Amino acid sequence: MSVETTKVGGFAGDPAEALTPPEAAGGCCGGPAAGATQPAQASACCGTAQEAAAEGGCCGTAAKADAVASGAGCCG
Amino acid sequence: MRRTVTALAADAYAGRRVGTPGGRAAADHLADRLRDLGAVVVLDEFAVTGSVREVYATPTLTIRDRDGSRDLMFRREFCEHLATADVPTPRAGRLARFGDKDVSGAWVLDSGFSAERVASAYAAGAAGVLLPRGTDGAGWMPKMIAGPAPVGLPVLAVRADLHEGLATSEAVVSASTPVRPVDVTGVNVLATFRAPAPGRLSVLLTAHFDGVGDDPDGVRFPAACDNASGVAAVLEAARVLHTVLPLEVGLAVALLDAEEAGAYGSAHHARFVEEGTFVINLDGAAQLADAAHVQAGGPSRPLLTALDLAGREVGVPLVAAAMPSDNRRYAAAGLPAVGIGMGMPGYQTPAETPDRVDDATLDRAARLVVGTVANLARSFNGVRGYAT
Repeated sequence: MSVETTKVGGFAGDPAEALTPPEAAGGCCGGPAAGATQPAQASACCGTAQEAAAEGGCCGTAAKADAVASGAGCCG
Repeated sequence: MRRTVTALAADAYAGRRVGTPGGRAAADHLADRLRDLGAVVVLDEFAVTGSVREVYATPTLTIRDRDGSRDLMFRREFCEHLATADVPTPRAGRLARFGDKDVSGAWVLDSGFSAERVASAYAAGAAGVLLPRGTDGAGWMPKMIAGPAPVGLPVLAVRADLHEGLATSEAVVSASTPVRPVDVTGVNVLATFRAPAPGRLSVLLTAHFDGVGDDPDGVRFPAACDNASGVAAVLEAARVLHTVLPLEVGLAVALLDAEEAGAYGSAHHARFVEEGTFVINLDGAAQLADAAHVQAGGPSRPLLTALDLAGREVGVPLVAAAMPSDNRRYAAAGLPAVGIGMGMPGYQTPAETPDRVDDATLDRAARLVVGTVANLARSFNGVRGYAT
């Protein structure tokens, strides 16, 4: 793959970083993900990837509590 | 893809909320589309209990002060808080602040939601609670349908600047919150294009088709971006892949319901997906900004390698970022799963219309998915060749 092609597509770093992505502040329960220049990339689930894995679901307790505390809606 | 987005955003489907006639009609429409593409389709129902909040009449909020009376505009100046009690008729009271000695009969201004503080206000005889909330760039308060357990008082979110103004006001507030929890039945649209030969690669493409539904006053929430765009790109990718993948490679599509209620559709479906199936979930394919957001889970390194290569081939930058969507349910079930997000302008507002969906982004999303699966197939014994 040429350097030219690499510059315009794919991951800039290690693709495995997608296994532990940085969580978006306010990205719980529909808030825009951090770093997005468009309001986007989120949906009804709460929590971090780590929490999701630990709790067997998409809704992490801590993120849910944060979302509720900030007045946002949050999934069950 | 444009036709798919426009069709799903149309009046007939009324915002596609889980458990509504519009949602069911959308599922039936998508089942027909998948059959037309050559798949065997099953509609798989499941229960969604205790999660969905239904606004069954338009909430009201009236402010009366020495200058007169003013009705605030729903979803522009105030909206329901998902923890609210169901109070269908207006309840009037003076304003008070949390911490005041006497809040009996008053609407209490608080800075943020706390179930404990609401319970305290309820015990003290308060009329309700008013919280501040921001708007999106177009001045809308995005609609959501799943929230924390209902509390004992009506709770409304008021636009932050108005809320701040009320803090120094002697106004009387009258408000209603006709919002109730509903138990509903969701339906996933499950399509099998071909089963994998024993021991061979199997791929599942997913996108949720549900939305948050129209408001009772008829205001449309078209959900063109979140996620008719993702559905459109997945259908196009499946159409292409069905023609180019080796017959021994398994290919299935799951168009999922109840994501907006808390990813119930994928939670139900993930239990039945064969171990080792690679899952690609697309949530938002409407307006690519700097890079597509990608989150992976489960044993997904081969999938990420294939996606990375496809991103380079198709020219889609990728960045590791939270994708809290159906992909997490599949990953939590132990499947290699990746979630991809390519933008949702107008997120969960009436402004989420088909014209906000960018054709070039749809095209790139479909190509990215096709390229990823093709690369995966090559790494698992080759592919006959494909043209995106």
